[in-house]
Amino acid sequence: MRKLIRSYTFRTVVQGLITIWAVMTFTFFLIRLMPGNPAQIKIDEYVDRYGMSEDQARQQVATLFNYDPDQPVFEQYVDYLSDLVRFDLGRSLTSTETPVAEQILRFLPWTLFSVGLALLVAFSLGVLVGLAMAYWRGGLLDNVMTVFASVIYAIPDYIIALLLIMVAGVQLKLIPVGELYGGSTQGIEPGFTVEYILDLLKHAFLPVFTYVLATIGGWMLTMKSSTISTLGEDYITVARARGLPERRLLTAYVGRNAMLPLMTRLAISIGFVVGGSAIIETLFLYPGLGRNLVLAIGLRDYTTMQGIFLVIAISVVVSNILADLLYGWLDPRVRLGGDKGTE
Amino acid sequence: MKRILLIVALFALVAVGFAPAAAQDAPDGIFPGTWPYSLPPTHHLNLFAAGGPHDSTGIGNFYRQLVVMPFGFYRWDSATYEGLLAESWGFNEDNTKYVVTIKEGTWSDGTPLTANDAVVTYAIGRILNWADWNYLSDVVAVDDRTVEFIFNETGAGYTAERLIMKTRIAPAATYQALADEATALIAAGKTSDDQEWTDLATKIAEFRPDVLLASGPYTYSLEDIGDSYMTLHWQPNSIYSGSVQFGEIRLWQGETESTTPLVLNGDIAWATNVYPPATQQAFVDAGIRLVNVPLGYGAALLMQHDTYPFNIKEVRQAMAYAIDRDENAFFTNGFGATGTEYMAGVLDTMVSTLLDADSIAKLNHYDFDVDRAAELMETAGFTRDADGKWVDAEGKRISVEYKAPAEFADFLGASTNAVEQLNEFGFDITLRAIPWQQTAEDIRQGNFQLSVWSWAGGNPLASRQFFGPIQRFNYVGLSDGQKGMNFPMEFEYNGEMINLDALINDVSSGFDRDAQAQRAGRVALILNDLMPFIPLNIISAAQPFNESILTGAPADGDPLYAAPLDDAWMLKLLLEGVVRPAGS
Amino acid sequence: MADGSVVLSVEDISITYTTQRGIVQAVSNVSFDLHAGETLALIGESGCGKSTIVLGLIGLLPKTGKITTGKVTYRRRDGRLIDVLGLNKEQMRQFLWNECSMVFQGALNSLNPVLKISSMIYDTARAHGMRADEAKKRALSLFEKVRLDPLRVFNSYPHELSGGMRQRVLLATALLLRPQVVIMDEPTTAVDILTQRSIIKVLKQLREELNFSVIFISHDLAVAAEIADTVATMYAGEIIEKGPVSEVFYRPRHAYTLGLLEAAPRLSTGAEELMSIPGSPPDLIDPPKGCKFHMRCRFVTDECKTTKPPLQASSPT
Repeated sequence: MRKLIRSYTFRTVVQGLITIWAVMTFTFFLIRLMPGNPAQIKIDEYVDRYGMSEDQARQQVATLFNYDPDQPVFEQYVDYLSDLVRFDLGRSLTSTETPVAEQILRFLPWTLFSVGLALLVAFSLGVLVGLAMAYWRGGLLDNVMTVFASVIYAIPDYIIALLLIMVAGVQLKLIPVGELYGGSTQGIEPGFTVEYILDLLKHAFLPVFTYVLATIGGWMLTMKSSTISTLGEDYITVARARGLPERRLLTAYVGRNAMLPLMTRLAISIGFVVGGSAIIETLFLYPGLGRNLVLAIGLRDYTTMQGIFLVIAISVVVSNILADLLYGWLDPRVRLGGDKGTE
Repeated sequence: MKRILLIVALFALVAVGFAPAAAQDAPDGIFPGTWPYSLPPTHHLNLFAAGGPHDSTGIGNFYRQLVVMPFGFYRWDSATYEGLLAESWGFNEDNTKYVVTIKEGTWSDGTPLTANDAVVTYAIGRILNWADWNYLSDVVAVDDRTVEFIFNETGAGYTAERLIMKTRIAPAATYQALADEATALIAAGKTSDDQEWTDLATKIAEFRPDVLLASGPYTYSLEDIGDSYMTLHWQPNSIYSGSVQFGEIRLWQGETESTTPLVLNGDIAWATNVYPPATQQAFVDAGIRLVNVPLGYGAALLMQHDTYPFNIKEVRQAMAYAIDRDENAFFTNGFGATGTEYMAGVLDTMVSTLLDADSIAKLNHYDFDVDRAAELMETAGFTRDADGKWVDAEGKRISVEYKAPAEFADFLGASTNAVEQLNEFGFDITLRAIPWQQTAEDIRQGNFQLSVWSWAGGNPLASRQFFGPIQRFNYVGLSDGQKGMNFPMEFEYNGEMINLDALINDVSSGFDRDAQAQRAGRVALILNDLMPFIPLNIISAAQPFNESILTGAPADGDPLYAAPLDDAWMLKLLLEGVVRPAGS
Repeated sequence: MADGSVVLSVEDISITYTTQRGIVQAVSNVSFDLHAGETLALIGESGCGKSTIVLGLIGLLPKTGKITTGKVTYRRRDGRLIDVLGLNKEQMRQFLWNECSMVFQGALNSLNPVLKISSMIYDTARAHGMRADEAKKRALSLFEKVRLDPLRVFNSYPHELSGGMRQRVLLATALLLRPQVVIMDEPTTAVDILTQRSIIKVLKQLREELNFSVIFISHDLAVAAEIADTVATMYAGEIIEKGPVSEVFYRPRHAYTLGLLEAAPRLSTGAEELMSIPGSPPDLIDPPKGCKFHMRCRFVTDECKTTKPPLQASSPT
């Protein structure tokens, strides 16, 4: 059995590595197929905004940037790979000589914090409410929440964000938008102080609230339908006949089984926590990785884009492995590495 | 508004509370502006590397001049310079040198401003292949405050002057060591082909100074760069420290979308973003004044001249007549755009400065006239079919595709409207919105029939105004193999063989303003007649200026408003203390 | 409830379902008594209402179901009588499993797939105030009685057990709290014939040792004949014939019972001799007058179409 687990783990890791390499290679070539390159973008900017001539701009960009548009793509790929195996993500093209890893370390925690918190809140709240909706199906809660969930599920997150800003912020003046922008108040000392943590939460409020509103409807509706089908299962009737108290029924019998189909979705969501939401982060000036990715894409900063895509690929792969383990923990039928089967 | 005042007052109190020992007290006000600056580590303090204060991703081409100043400020209305760091400036008698005397002043650390600062700046710029060095052979400090820019054989002229006057001078205190290495390389006869040269360029780019020494009245450190706004702090040692009226310049991060609510809320008092017409209306409704300032360019309808029938002059002229450019301007950028009047290839505001009076009088304004357009179409051999569409002798309609950049609301608006108007007139154009990078690439490759891009530009010299798109997106200005518009630049005109490319390059050379105006007038008339592209409109930024927070913006139509951002009215008025907190 | 040996008395019970088409008279005026130690088999085709009756008894009818008439009386071991239909929710919860437990059909789906058997036992025990260690002891001994490897099964997940093992686990669980009545709804339909045999054997043995009454619901006459003391035949929501197993099987009085017997395969008959009952059960939204079987009955008379034949009741001896 040890051998089995070991080989399973080995296989998973190898599979993960291959996936990451494939995604990495794919993005490497794909982003170079996008129209325009970092040098050309900068040249356009110099020409459009500063009235330089094309060749002057070209000349200056050639030295300002460590990017040679004429280097063969495959050669660039080999360079990139050889840096990568030394855990070097390279340097930014548009902020000359700034390490990509440094940028990722700077922006990733904010995205992890805000999107992760939102996922946690939306998932737990959505699952609880969805469960209640199905359990007391046809009741007031169900009717109200089904309408609510269907409506907000249909609204894209950036619309929610804009409504928050324009209606609650500008027109009703309920939210001091400017004060809530950003990741933390300028000048506040980071650390494990109540003041700092409250400040973080305050600044995370707008993006987190938006993410929660945008995603909770989906969780609620999925959980509701999953719960309804679970409630029809024989073992629920049987458990009820055994006189189990409602709370135990709801949690261990209905809830746990109804949640199983949601785990895949949760795994995907966790994987994409890292990417964040570029639009939301841009609108709320939240210093996350998603906003940075969009800036990098706009400037065709290949190395920064590659670095961020790599981190996203890794997190998706890792979260899928974690989801497998979690699924096994929740559903013994697919438990990994176990061979307790009797017949 | 009360809340804003309260915050302003609070910050003032805090500022006073924390800085009681300053020799000269900082002014009270906070100037709430905005710029889409980048965050550290992308943002750094190296003036010579992309991502630094001088880059557009740093603090951009307006605010950076409040920190690290150039020699001068250009008045677009009078074509003259006003000194910023320079006390006097000008060509020497035989036009072989440009001589600048620097004002007596200090950097933010108290070290004096000297001619050496300029020498250091240009030494590093030489390693970075600055365009300035296309015109120069050397930069020499004559005495402590006098620097001479020695031209090479072809360099002397107004183009070089503008480069010299607008280059922001970096502090020798920070960059002396790198400049010494550069000087040594030059002395050793190395060129940009040598590895040492490239290595030094990399070394320059890698440099990350801890402190940003300022010659302007404001400076900042990396700690001042917040997620939602960054702060430029007043510093007491600049020539302009005594005249500015704000203790802090607060720059909110963000582009159009994220700054809109802040402008409406009064968190931002002056914004340089381009806002769509509906947002502009919302600003007006909220009682915020809009100040119209040209961005220095406009939307031009580009034709690919290998495409029939755009190779026919009459068809191009007919198109110019058939588009109502005032209507088109509104769809381009609301209040922030005006239809082109002179159709001269240079900005309307620059026509009287750059062109000679005779030529101006001869310019065809192509006033909206569908009948005249129809006449021209008939001259070119087209007739209308049953649907009112123009068909040629073979009965073929003008069925073409128009590529427009989807992300640029102004260009896209101009395109949508132009296509509508032309189809109304009898063309059969299909508009296709694609990513802007793809649009630019397709234009360069000549892989388009109709498209849109900018014309004129943010440079006041006539030759630079003419540059785009007739040179920029034409085979003459592109890399090998790229056709672009493919408008032939050598042709017979009025019985004379001319080279339009050479004519344009020659427009601004020399020192004789009248001769320049005549040369520019000639080019303008050729473009005006041949219409190789249609300059649809001139886009301006309708800059919100909140007069309950700031005061001091001149009345509409003031000549100061003629300049785009690099020589913005605000720069002059901020430094002079004319723009100040409202009620002060 | 005159007879002191009667543990469960069902009198005149009727159950309806509300559907979109109208009200379905699923059970009409059914009465029977269950004596201590007796095994009563309710047999009939699917849809005849036999499962509905027991769901009604234990208060687990779906929301659309409703008991319209009738009375169910249960006699506790201490002699106290309980009006089962009058119990409130919590009282019903207590009543279930303590007094009356149930083995459902479909053993494969009757166990929560994510919990171990032990959790299920503990959950059941805790819900009725039984101590955990006692529950474990009792469960292990019951597992042994139903011929399972007690400790291994106790620590297994449902998917690790075969269908027959699961059915025996359910049987053992039903007896965990020593109920007087165990309702078994088609306990042997989902398993193969050999497993069926062993379950019947185990059940018989348990009944002898632990002395409980059984309501055995089945459409399988052979199984019913083997285990039941009394047989009640149901058709279209009514009990149409009831009597001791020997009487009903060897001298059926109702044409439907006869039909059922003829339709059942026996070891002695070949498949070609099987007779099915022509036609299908009547629509219970608008039930026919008289005997509800008359449209399918080969002995039909005019009288059958207007009046119901009397219930052939005979007490078990």
